[in-house]
Amino acid sequence: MALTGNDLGFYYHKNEWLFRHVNIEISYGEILGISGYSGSGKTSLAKILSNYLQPIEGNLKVDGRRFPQKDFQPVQLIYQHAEKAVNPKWRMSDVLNESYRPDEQILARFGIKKEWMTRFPIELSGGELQRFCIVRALHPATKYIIADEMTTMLDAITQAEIWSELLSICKERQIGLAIISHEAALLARLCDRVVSLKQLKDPAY
Amino acid sequence: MKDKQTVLKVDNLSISFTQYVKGLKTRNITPIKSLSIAIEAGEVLALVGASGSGKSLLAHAVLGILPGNATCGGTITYCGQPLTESSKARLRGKEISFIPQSVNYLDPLMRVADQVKIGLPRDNADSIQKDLFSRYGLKEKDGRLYPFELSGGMLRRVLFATSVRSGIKLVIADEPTPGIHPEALSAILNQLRKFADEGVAVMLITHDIVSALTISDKVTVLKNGSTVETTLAENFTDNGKKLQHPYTRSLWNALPQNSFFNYKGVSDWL
Amino acid sequence: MKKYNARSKMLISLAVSGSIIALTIIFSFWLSPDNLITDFAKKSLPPTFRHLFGTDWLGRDMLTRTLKGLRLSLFVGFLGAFVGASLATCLGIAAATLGKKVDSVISWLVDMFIGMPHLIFIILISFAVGGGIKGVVFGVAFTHWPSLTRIIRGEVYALKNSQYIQISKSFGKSKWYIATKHILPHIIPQIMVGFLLLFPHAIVHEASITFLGFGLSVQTPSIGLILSEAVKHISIGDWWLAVFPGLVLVLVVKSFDNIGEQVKILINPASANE
Repeated sequence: MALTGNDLGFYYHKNEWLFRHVNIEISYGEILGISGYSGSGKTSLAKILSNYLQPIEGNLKVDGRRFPQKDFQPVQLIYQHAEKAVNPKWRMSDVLNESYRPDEQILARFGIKKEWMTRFPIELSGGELQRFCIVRALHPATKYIIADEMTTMLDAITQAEIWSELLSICKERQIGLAIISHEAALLARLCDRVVSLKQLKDPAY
Repeated sequence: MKDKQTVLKVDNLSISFTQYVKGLKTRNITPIKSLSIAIEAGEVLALVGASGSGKSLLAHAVLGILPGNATCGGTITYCGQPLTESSKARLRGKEISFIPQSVNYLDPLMRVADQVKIGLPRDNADSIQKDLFSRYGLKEKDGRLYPFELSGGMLRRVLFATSVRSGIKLVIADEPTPGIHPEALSAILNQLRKFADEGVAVMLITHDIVSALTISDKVTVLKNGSTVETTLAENFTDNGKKLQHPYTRSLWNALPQNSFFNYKGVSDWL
Repeated sequence: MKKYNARSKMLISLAVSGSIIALTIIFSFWLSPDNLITDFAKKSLPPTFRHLFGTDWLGRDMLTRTLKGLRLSLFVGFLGAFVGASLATCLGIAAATLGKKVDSVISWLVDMFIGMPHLIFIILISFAVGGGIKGVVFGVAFTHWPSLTRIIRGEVYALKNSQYIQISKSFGKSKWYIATKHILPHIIPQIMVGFLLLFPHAIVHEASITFLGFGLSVQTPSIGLILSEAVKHISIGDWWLAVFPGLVLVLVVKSFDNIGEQVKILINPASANE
């Protein structure tokens, strides 16, 4: 069982391919690192893998099937900027409940305090918000997570805490995790396997 | 070293905001409680802290661009003179240069080459702009594009090019490097170092300790709006034995290059 | 003594503007229509205590005429602003959500209408639908939608592509859910402000075209009509016929404008705490 992208290609401006002929596979429980720098098309790839964007060429399959049209998406994307990923007018409890009702245990694992639940996003720091975004993505039906520069804006301690929890949950639930980052040292520490976007674009490289 | 001039000195700075809770009731939040730094001419000071630790606010306070509901305590001195709102307005862009964090500071309706030319001497603005573009690895044709047509990393380089001017004594770079290509990253860091070597005082606000250490002389660590410790860059080595404060040590050890998960009693689950 | 904070000042100014409008409406009902009976004994009296705004050449009390006229102007302005704001909301949302073709047609219309002088357009539309109150309402409504449409289109467009709405979609939420829970709460305040700011425009334009003789009929008591009649009598020295109604019109219009601007500051998170 895997998330597979075959011969993916994408561009924003005609005839300026951001990437082409990209083949990618993330299996259950696998932690795959994708290294790339800003401007290399990694956010577009992240959006295609999580069905936010349609590839211009190629196709994408979750466990051998096409993505569901309307229901909950089994591939969840976690963005770099948590403050943009939550509705600024909603309280944090509503932000979580839009996905599912997480139990106390998972909240505790990500260090989410009870008093944060009634706050608005503006009253929390980037690191605190990102913890909510991760818990929100860990819906019982989530099978794959794409983390696009998820901890780039956070300090080293918060980064280490968040990754240690997310990795252990992914291993427990056999969630396939793709970590997209420009930080080679981070990927080397976290992933079972690391590919660079350059390699994906041009396997001969 | 006594001939070195302290360009910027911030003593016990506090910044608080008045917010309306409900109707007319107000409350104060104080993101910066007690912050002290000093930067000398010719040195790079890295200001390191978690997002939300108030790093950017310090820059905004020095530049005088805090929002209207903010109140400041403590003192800020620039070249021995206390900084007032009017001197801030006079100095910014002329002697104090700011490289902002967000690429949203660019004008979305103006070609990027023209934005770089703002404030340049009119006769040779073209050649300086082209020179700056090649220095930051931007192609000449990119100059004709509008901000939305460029990638985040390229925009960041454009931002950098807009802030390089002659006559600058203090450069404040707010998070100038997230996620960019190693070559562009080292180009930007080298440029900051070059500023310092030419006698400019450089304040590098970042959470990326590793790259900051490659060019910094001193590092100030912030936590919850207060200065934890100011230390020499070379003290960040081994397991952080030479670092005074336990927070600084954890921050250093939590890096993926160092102990990462095991930076302090986090159980080794692997 | 406690210092007034900026928001208290703002509320006081809102209260003053609100009371001016409320008083205008209350007095327009309270003043007796008997004051409007022709009485040549009281012809063309300058302002006195009994007739604060003086009387006209038919001996009618000008205060009563002004306030009753303004009430009609307010009513017409309200209808015009309401229809205009509704139109702008529908078109703005349609432009942002119904694809490129719809968007370019609506944007083209917006650009065309914004480039046209309002008054000429109002006169044409007013004629086309047969004049009178209906003519003025339609004239005002159909000329005042473009700028609000543009704002709402931009707002919905940005929201639609925002990360948290993309995420909401990935949770399998329906279009209806996203529209009502995410998008509407964001744009309703914008629409409210747009409506409030349309109001003064609508009133002034109603007054202008009636003044020019294209608007309401001679029998209806409207502020535009009062001003246009006054012009004939100013030359013989009856200054009060124009000055007081004009001042009240300016006062009411500024009050609406003030309310709109203050609410705009309050709902904008960047300025709300100043």
